[in-house]
Amino acid sequence: MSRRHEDAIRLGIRILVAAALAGLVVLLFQGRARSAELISEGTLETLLDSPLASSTARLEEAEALLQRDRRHRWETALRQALEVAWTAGSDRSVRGAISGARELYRTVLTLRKRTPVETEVFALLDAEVRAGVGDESLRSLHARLLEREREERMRTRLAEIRKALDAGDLMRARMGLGLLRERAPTHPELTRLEDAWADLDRRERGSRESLIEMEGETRPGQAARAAALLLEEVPAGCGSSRGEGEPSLLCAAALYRAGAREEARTLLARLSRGDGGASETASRWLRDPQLFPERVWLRARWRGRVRRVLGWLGGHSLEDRGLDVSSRGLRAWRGAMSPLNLGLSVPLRIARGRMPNPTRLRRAARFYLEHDPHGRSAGEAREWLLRTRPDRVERRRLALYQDGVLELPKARTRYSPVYARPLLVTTALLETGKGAGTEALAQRLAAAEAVVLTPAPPGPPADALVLSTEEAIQVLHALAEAVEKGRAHSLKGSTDEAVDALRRLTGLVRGGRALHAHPWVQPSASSRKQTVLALLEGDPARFEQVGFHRGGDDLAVQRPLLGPNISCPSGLVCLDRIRPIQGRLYGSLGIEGDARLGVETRVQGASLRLEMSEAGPLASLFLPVGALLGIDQWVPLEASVRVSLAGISVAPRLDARR
Amino acid sequence: MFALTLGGCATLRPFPRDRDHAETPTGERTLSAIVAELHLHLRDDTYRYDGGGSVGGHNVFALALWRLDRLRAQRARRPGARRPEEWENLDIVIEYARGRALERLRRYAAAREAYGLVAATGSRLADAAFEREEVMRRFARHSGRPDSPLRDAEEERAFIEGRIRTWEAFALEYHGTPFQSLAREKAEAGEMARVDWFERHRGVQEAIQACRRLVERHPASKLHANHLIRLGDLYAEAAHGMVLRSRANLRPFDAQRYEVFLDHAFALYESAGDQPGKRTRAEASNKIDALLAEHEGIRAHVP
Repeated sequence: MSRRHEDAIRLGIRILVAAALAGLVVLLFQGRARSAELISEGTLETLLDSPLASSTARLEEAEALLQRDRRHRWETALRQALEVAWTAGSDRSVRGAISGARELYRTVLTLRKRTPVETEVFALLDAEVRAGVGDESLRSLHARLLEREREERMRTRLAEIRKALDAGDLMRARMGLGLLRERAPTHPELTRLEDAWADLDRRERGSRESLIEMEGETRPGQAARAAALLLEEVPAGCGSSRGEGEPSLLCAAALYRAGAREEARTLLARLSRGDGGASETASRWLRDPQLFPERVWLRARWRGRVRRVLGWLGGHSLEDRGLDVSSRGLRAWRGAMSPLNLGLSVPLRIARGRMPNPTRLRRAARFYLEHDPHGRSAGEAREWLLRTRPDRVERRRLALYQDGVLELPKARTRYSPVYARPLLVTTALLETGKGAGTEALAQRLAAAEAVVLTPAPPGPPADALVLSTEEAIQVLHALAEAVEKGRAHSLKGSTDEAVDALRRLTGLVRGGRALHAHPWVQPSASSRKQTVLALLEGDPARFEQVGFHRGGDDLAVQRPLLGPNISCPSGLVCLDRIRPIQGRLYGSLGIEGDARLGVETRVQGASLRLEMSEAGPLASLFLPVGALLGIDQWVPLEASVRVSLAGISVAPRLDARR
Repeated sequence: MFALTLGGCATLRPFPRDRDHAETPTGERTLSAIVAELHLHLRDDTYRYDGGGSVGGHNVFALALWRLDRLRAQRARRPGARRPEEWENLDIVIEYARGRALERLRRYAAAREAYGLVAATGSRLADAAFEREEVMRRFARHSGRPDSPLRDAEEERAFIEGRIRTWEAFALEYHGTPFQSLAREKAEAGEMARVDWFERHRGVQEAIQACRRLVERHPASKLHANHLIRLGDLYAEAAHGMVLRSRANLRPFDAQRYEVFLDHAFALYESAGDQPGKRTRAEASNKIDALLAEHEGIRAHVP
């Protein structure tokens, strides 16, 4: 075979392959079109079935289809509403609740709109009516659907026109208006939209004319007005300015600096409603808080009012988080809805005239008065500053200087000290100490709950006892031995920290510093009034040795037994003897009058509770199974045994305190 | 429908898409807008407020000067552009406005020149320009470099202290005028230079005293929080120095004194964090964290 033959055969094969591929592509598209036809026929098949050949049957089926579609939409809306309520109520996810609410809103908006089912039914009925087929009822349904279709089209058209006007697309808006005038010349919105178009067109033409202005080209009199402004005078003609064009920026600046802020603001407001660079500058000046600080004050005042109401409803928690769209905000709202809060705390807060945290308002008031001391709301801002007290941060700022001299406070940051810290030792520990020094010290300061050992501070308290070096070392060694042998422990911090504190004190004493001991009495955490107020707010409180806690629907109290409940002051190391047995007395009173009273003792992790309530006596024993198995660190497992009038029960549980 | 559309298109005028007509194609604003914006901020107290003279974070005076310089350059390019002695009203206004902007940018020598040109025109602005030129002359004389190189550290210190006294005197003299805030800022800058001098030449302890003086003399300054942080840094450095000397066995470690310095440093950072201003609060918080970490490292090794 010659080369020419081979080329011809090769070319022929290529043509055949290309044709086959093209044919395959055509077939594929034909198939897809065919399948689309089949799908779209699905709905109409129902109405074209032979059993529905009569007009009445088709009408009934059409109505049934529409009704089913309507019912489906309402069911969807109801289902979404239930989902939103469930998500919000169960506090699963705030984001989920919000997105569910958004979906529900969209569904509700579409309830009255046309759906694809309605469109298809209308298309079929339309074909029949045009063909002269169908009875009166069918025509009536068709007319109804036609009216809805026309309304939908009108809505769409109006939306498009508005969108075009907002975007400044004059051409598109003009076309839409033309069609609207042709189809609905008496539509109530037509005149308004045409006026809007004309207004926009006028403004565009005005702006185009200002573009003609050359660089550096100025209007007549501009230099004189600018010179007057630079000399801090009010330029001529500023009083009669109509608020259009750039000269008004000059006037506004002059009026502002001359103290006529309100006139300047009015001028700028008028100017900002126009178009162009001057109106943008005017808007920017109006928004500048340093030029017009009243906005800052008014906004802070409004937010203060909202937070005051939130504070009435839910105390500090709701005041701080009530406006947060988060799970914390949701929890704050749920906590505020408790019966005790609504029934007891809310009326009392309102009666007391509870005020919100004044920090933000004070800051806004100070800012306003600094920038506009003679402003419209200056008196109100001043009065607010006088009525409220500075918060902690502001008090700290004010206290930083005394007569112009910098006075540094003690640092709030908690750091591990390198210098020996004072030691607080309970009298109980001193009395049980093995060394004679500790017992003697306890006897000398018997009236106190505890003793503070401190290296010679300047000006020690009058009732301080100065220990000799020998005495001091004896006491410190005894305490160290008690800690190391497990007879004493640190009330706050680790045993190592306690040993380190003892070591440092000993080093100081050996270095020649004296050790002072003075009695210490625990101050009451709060007064009666403070305790009551804290309970009303829902905060935990402590009065003397009794702790109070108000829950959503009950009030709980407890008091430790078998020893003082010392709250270790900050900056001190506190040592107490390890008590083999601890106890507490507790009780609670519920909003429905259910009360309980009980006593609990704890020994080496196990606890025994004896409780009396309306349901009768209850004895509970909790055994630290997790500690016994050595897995306590990961799984604080306890075994609980309960004996009551209802019977005996045994069950595992996790230690709630851990 | 098609004919209607074509007819509609034929009657419509083309319009520009860009709605921002604030600026001409080369970005120029007219003089009125520039002068109005400048005038609005000329009385801002730049000593007390950080936002004084700022528009969207940009210095309004620098922006105004840039625009005025371009206006001036454009007018100079026009045919028949005139020399200063033949200036038109517009050129005089531009130059005076430049002077005001330069003055607020603390470029006193350039401001003096601009005022001088306006004062020589005999125009309505000449008298005001003449007065301002005198003030700028004084300011320029006391804000430049020393006339001759400084020989030693003591001469440097004397120079700094002299500047501080001069600017404090200006602040009193121009009390109640916009010049006061400029003078106070210069006095404050002098105090800051003094702290730096003490740290370089006399050590941390004397730098602490100098910084305390800075803090006490300028409690109303916008840089007050920064001064507190600076003082805190000095205390932290003093504490750190004690540890280094102890490690080098140059001096026994005084734990009590170390804790005093440390406590003061923390207290100062916390006080800086109490001042308004997000940036300084963040910086103070970072400083506290860093010092805390450094202290924990030190504590493990001190006796």
